[in-house]
Amino acid sequence: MLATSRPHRQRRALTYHIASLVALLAFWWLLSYYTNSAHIIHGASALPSPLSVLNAIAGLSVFLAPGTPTTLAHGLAALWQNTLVSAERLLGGVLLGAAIGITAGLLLAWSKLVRLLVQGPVLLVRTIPLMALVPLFLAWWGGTSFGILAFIAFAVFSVVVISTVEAAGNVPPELVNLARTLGAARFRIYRTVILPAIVPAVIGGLRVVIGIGWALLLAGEYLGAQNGLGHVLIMAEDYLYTARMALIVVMIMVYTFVLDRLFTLAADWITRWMPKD
Amino acid sequence: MSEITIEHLSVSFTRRRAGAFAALQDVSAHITPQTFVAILGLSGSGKTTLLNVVAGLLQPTSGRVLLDGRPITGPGSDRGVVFQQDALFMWRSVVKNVEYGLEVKGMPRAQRRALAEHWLTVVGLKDFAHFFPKELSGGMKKRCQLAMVLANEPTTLLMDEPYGALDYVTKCQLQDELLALLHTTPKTTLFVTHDIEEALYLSDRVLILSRGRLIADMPVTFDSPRTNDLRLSPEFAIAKQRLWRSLDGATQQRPLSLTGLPASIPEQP
Ligand SMILES: Nc1ncnc2c1ncn2[C@@H]1O[C@H](COP(=O)(O)OP(=O)(O)OP(=O)(O)O)[C@@H](O)[C@H]1O
Ligand SMILES: [Mg+2]
Repeated sequence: MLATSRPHRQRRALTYHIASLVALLAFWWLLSYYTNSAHIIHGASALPSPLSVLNAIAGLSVFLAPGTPTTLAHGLAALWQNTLVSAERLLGGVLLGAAIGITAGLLLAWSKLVRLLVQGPVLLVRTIPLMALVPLFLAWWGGTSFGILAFIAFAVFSVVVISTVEAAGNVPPELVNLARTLGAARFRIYRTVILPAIVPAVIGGLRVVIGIGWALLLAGEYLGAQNGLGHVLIMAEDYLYTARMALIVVMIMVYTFVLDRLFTLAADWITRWMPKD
Repeated sequence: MSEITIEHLSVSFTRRRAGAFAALQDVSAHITPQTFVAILGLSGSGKTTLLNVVAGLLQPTSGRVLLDGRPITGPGSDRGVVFQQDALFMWRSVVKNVEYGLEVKGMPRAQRRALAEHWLTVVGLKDFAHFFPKELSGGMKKRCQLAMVLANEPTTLLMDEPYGALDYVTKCQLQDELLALLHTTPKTTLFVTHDIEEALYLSDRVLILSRGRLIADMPVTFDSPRTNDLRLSPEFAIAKQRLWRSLDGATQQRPLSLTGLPASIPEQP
């Protein structure tokens, strides 16, 4: 049979994706229906149904201010507010860490001496278990929002700096030689050959880091935040509000998906010159 | 001008296990300006190494190479190199690749764009100016590399097996284009190849390298302009045979390593 055209194939793939998602949702619903009639933990359903997860939105109203009436509008506002707080920490940390990491990586790759001097300590830093650093960062910044941001920035930095140095070392030597034979001096080669050539590798490193970013954010917010999605989640645990917990998890899934799509779009555009596979 | 004098050139590489390895041993040659010299040799005979020394990318272990009487100290835009690998800046469009050398020289944007487009027309890539290298075929990539080098107007052209990976007909086309181009803008050219026919068709002189040594130096005297008919002529066949013998002689000296293989194929009962 002849191969079908690209848009046609994509549309068919989308149909399958939606179908399997709907099936999964139905399965969740059925399972929650069964478990709720059988297993109740302290009055809360162990597996909240999709409907009760939606209903949990209104319950978030208290996070706007104590005593706020419980309405859907207030709940949505609270969700939005805490989303913004978390997004600021996550994206702020990623951007700050990436900026410092890329700059430091480029400086390291420039000089062999500096690279040799710093390589040891950088490798040492990589062995630090990141989660073990959360309390330390919170202690340094007194549990402020910036403490969590700084923690994420540090984690991002430690990944990005290494992928930058490695990428700079992997630039094909013939490209550097080409620039040299065309008369380019060292700094120009750095700016016009090394820098653009490492972009795909740096983007790859960033993608990994954004993936672990959520985990780092939640860890920081569990331990030392008075707001944010992680704070809402850990508070729900205190009262066994399982529907609310599921709501936050679902929201994080949605955000992760959207963020990943946007990142992929941007990355694909930036590296549009790259031969695919 | 650009006259190249190679004096007792040797290059050794230190290999991790085997110690020093001589890639070039005592190579001497004098190349007069605007001559087309083909450097012929089997894989590993030191062709790229020789070219890299002339390009200034590699330091000689001993001996020296002079360009117009002055020792080569490093790469320079007076010597354009078309590399064996497809060396193009993948993130730049074709025309921006060609502009690179002009950018280095500090030429204003409009002027360098016009010049780059001129050279793209010369190599037949005018319609692909805004493509990325990944969108070009192998032959087009080689044309782009050539335009990139020519835009710099070097007096010496160093080409390392540029057409090695192309089909026969495309290869012949590019060879004719190169000859036409050098006819209008003559340059001293070192052209590395392992293709006997290519070496003969293009050059005024063939140098044969074998395991790091210069084993033959043969003038090529066919009239120009050369056309594809030449490839089929009896004189061409004779010259081809002579080069073949030289190369073949070189292989016969090579100690064949057949360890692990039976000395003779045992007869099946
Ligand atoms: N950087 C290097 N380090 C160690 N050995 C090298 C290096 N470069 C080349 N050599 C060795 O020197 C010899 C000549 O290499 P060279 O690249 O000049 O060969 P060549 O004639 O260009 O071969 P080909 O036709 O396959 O490109 C080879 O045996 C190769 O292994
Ligand atoms: Mg070679």
